Amino acid sequence: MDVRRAAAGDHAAFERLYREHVGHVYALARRMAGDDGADDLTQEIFIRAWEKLGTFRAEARFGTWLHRLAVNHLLTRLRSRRAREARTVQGDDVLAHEPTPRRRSSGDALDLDDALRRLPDGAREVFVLYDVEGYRHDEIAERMGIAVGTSKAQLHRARMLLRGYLNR
Amino acid sequence: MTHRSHDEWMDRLSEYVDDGLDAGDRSGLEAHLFTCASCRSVLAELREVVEAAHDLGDVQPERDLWPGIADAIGASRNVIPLAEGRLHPRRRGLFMSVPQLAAASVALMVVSAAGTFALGGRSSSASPPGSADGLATRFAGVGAGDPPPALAEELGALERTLHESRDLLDAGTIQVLERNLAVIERAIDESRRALAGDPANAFLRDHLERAYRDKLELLRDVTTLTEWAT
Repeated sequence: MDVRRAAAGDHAAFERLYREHVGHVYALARRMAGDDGADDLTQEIFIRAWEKLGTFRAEARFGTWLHRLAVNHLLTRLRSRRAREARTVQGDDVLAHEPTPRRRSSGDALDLDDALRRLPDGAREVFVLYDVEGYRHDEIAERMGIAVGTSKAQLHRARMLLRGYLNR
Repeated sequence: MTHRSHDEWMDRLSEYVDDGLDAGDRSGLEAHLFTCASCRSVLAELREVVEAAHDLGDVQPERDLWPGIADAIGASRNVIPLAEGRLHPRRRGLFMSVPQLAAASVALMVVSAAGTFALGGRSSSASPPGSADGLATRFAGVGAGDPPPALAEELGALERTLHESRDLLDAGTIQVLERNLAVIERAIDESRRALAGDPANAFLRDHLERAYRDKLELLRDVTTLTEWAT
């Protein structure tokens, strides 16, 4: 009901949809892009969702539609961000990949969200999409523009690195 | 049953976890696992990682992101946002989506082109406005990595304008701006120091010119955005 109202221009209905789904979209953005850009990316995703609500088909679940839109937006933005950083920083790839220190959740061991931040970009994105979000390798390969074999190799790399981080 | 080396089996453990191996590889890996404690240990840890990933839940943002969204979609026409803890009753914070920013940048390129052309002055007529050549012409004869006086003057004016009107910008935009400016300033500083030791180095000079141009374009874009917000 709220989706139909929001598509008709009802801002209050769209705010309810935002409140219902922001936790999942924000978690996805943070895991894919890191803390620094997660707020902006989450806002962009909901603004884009508002703009594209007219294309939403009632037979699909809104959460699924929003999730797909979010993944596509994040992958596009992360690709362009990396290209921009490569142009701007010019060889100083320390800045581009330096994990921002943040609080530990509890205890001495890193939790998985902390460990994810240490992964190289490609491995992190594949891991989040496959192991956290449940995408198949062929879907990931299509969205990221890589081969299925590369997706599998990145996933294994991510898991092996995470295993090391978590056991350290 | 397939036969492979220890390292090759190690590389297949993730596919085994995901039940993605064909029958030959699967039975071959299981035979290897029977004799290899190292692979058994890694396999157990990979399963723990996968299980932990499946258990990850939603995360709520630390601040309410709705006001920025509402502003962008026109749902808060009467809401006056707080910028850095201060209230500005006559001004609305400016939030632009990426497509909006892209469109703004394209529009600004046209405006900037004219400005850059003017900045280039009489000597830049042979170069396209805003081109590296144009800037290079302006850099000719300038020592120690200092920007030419006209460029320094415009950068200073833009920085002052931005400082005075930064409250018009969304906090997220300011954060991105400051991060980008810090990167550019660092590039300028490093290039200037390197040029001081090797003043004839064309690569360093070119690198410095590009950094100044990036800073100029960024400041022009953002100050124009603040003008749109008033």
